[in-house]
Amino acid sequence: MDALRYTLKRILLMIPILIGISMLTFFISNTIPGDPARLAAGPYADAKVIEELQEKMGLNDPVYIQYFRYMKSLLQGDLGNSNYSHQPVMEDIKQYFPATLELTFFSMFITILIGIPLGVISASKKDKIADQFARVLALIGVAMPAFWLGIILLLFFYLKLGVLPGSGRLDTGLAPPETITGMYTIDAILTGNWTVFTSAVIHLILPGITQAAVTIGMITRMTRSSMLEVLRSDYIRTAFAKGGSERRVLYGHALRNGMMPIMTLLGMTFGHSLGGSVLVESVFSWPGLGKYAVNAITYLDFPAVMAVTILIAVLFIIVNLVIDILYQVVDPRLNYE
Amino acid sequence: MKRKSILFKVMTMALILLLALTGCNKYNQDSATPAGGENKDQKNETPAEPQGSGNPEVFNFATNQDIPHLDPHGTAANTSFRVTYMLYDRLVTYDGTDTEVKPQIAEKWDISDDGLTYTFYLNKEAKFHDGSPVTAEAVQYSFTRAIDIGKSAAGQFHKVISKDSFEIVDDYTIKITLDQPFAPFLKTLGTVFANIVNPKLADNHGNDLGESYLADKEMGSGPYVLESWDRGQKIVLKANEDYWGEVPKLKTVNIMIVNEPSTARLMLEKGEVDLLDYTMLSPDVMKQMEGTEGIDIITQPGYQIDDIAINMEKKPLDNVKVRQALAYAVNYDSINNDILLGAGKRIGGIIPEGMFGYNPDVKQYDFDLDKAKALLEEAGLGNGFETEILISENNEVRKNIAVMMQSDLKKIGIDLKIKTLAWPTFLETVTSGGHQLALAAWTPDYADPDYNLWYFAHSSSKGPGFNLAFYENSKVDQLLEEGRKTVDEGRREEVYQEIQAIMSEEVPYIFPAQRLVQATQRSWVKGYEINPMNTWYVPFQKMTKE
Repeated sequence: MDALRYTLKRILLMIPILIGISMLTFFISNTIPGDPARLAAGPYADAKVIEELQEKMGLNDPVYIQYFRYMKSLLQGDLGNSNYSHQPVMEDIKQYFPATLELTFFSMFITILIGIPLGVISASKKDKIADQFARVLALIGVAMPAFWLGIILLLFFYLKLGVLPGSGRLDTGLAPPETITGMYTIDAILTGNWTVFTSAVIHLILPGITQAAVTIGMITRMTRSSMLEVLRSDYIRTAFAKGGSERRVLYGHALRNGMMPIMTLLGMTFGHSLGGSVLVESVFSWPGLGKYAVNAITYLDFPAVMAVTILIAVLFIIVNLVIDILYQVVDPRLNYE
Repeated sequence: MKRKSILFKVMTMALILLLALTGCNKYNQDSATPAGGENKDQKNETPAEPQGSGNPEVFNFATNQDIPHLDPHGTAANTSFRVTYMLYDRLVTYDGTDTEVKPQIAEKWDISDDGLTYTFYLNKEAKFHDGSPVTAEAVQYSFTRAIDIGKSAAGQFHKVISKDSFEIVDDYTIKITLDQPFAPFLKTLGTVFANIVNPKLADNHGNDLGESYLADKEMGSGPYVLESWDRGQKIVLKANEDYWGEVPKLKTVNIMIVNEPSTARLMLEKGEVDLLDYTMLSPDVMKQMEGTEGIDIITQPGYQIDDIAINMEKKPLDNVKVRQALAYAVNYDSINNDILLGAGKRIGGIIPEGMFGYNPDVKQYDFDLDKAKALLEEAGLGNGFETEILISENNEVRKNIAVMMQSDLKKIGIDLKIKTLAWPTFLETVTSGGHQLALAAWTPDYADPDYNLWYFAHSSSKGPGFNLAFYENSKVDQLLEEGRKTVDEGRREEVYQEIQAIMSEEVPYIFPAQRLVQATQRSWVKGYEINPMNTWYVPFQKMTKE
């Protein structure tokens, strides 16, 4: 089977998964006690108004009919209107999702930049000081609650040193760049607006580090154990014996062979981060998808809940697919079976 | 040697990266010029205005409550009110700490002797943001739309007016005729629901009367215009330089969403934010901040009353002696001193002290467990009983009150269970009568006893109408109906005081405290006053910074 057919097959497999997820979400949401019409109408609306709204929102029909109606408009690309913001849910997502995407990219960048080299060093200096240092660092990263770490970073870098901003995506006085991707850094580059670019990057640092702390820990440990296994192989000894430089052997031979489990973990964390992290978003007032989803549930805004769930599911599946395809780039011996 | 160099390189790279990124900016009190190192590249942009304390014309307000949308007739969210009150004008308005209306678009008005017909004479200077005049037609259009949309705003008005109640006398005179006399009518016209919208909105009605169109736009005539809105981040308001009234001194108002109160507190201490939403910090955090240099804590009396609704349809709560016993078992002083840390006072009914109709002589139950125990025995429940109190989540103060009650009630044999629910579930449960006790709070939208008492005590308000005690008393019903129709203020006062007296004997509700409202601001902020009922109201249009 070639790569294309494999990809197509995987995409087709998405359909039953998505149907399952949409059904689960829809029916679970509907078991939450509370009346969406009551919330949409507001506190002083009287019974008649609420009844009219229930009718208008189709809440009087059996749940399965509501589900089919939802799926029908979903297939026509209509995610419905949010009861909360009065906007099409699509508009909401367009506003919140790029922020999450940007933060995820940034924190994954930090994770890869720090986590993998740290793991490699750890493995090559097994049980030496550098390894112990990396181990402690990884444990701290995994063990510290994101919320707490965020506040500590804020206290230090924002309040005490005053070198990094405390909240949001841009300085208060700056207007966001023209929306192209919705990611401020990318849009700023595309429009050549360097003031906004710098401000956007600076605002990414603290939330990025906070979000990356856990993943750096995990990736470091995973890289280390994967590398240790590879470093024991004969071909590594041969490579060293042939006089290959340490850097070349470690990064060129060993890391490439030990990459599989690392990639799997990276894929999982990436997909997970795309769902947004409520804690990090809260501490740094990052207007991301996590906060949006929590808000949607609080207001029984079912169209928004559905849209977020489906979006995250699709992304998760796609990320996993990309990782599966990348396996073959890393190890061409693999077959698409 | 080589091994060392790898570690060294990675560490140096990380360090350089961090320094390069952080070195560019200093987020000090006045983070005046963003990105100082990049000035060369700013050619084709206007340099950003200095923010925070550096600029007396820019005001940063932080809130942790997200803003759903900006349609004045469709929303019931306080955070939206705060914005729409600035974008739109009303016939009459509330200002400062005053709970009586003042003229705004209506220069003056006449009320007929029977209290049915109101004639408003509009200010001819008033203009919408697109330059068109605010006319009688706009007034009629706005109320008609509010009633047609049928949400919170309609709930306020449709008791006494309908779409046919309006008569346009001329461009600047409008007559509103009520279906029946309604003494507090004028006061309802100062609420956010009575905002006047530009009738040109009709061009964008779509199939929902423009609700989705107006969700993120404004078509008002107020002192501020909507500059931009980055959802979940900030709303920027700009002073309306052509405002028909006094042009605001704060030219830019940034309403920033800062989700986490501890972050907001840091920003205030740093001076990046000028004022925090009064709901953000809990009493104990404000206590800690007291005396911080450069920060003031403003305290003003509020009309918010904490209430415990006792569901009278549930046994044994239908027994008045049991309800009185519960009232004696609440440690009011401790709530005010230890939980609210002084930001509250005793209150005996749902009419707050300071408001028209308040009855100072109403019977107040003091904390007395012996009396409570005796009453329980009289009711035949000497061995106590089990009951449950509902609270909504994420409210530290309410949780603490419930826990305090739990331990006190235990001493007289009552086993109180505390159940915390998410807001929608809480709302659904209490309005459908699924609770035994429910702890909530109430702030009126306009200062008239009819407002509070009708919701709390009229039998037609049971459940969804917020009579959460499911209280029914024909005498009270009759008095309430009389009070609503009566125009004579003296008689009205008598009526409402009598209702409070009856209720304090029957105890459908227990009132733990009337709150003081406290907010934290930078000392350089001048002119911020908290309105006791519209506590969300921040008068940006007349505030200044020094």
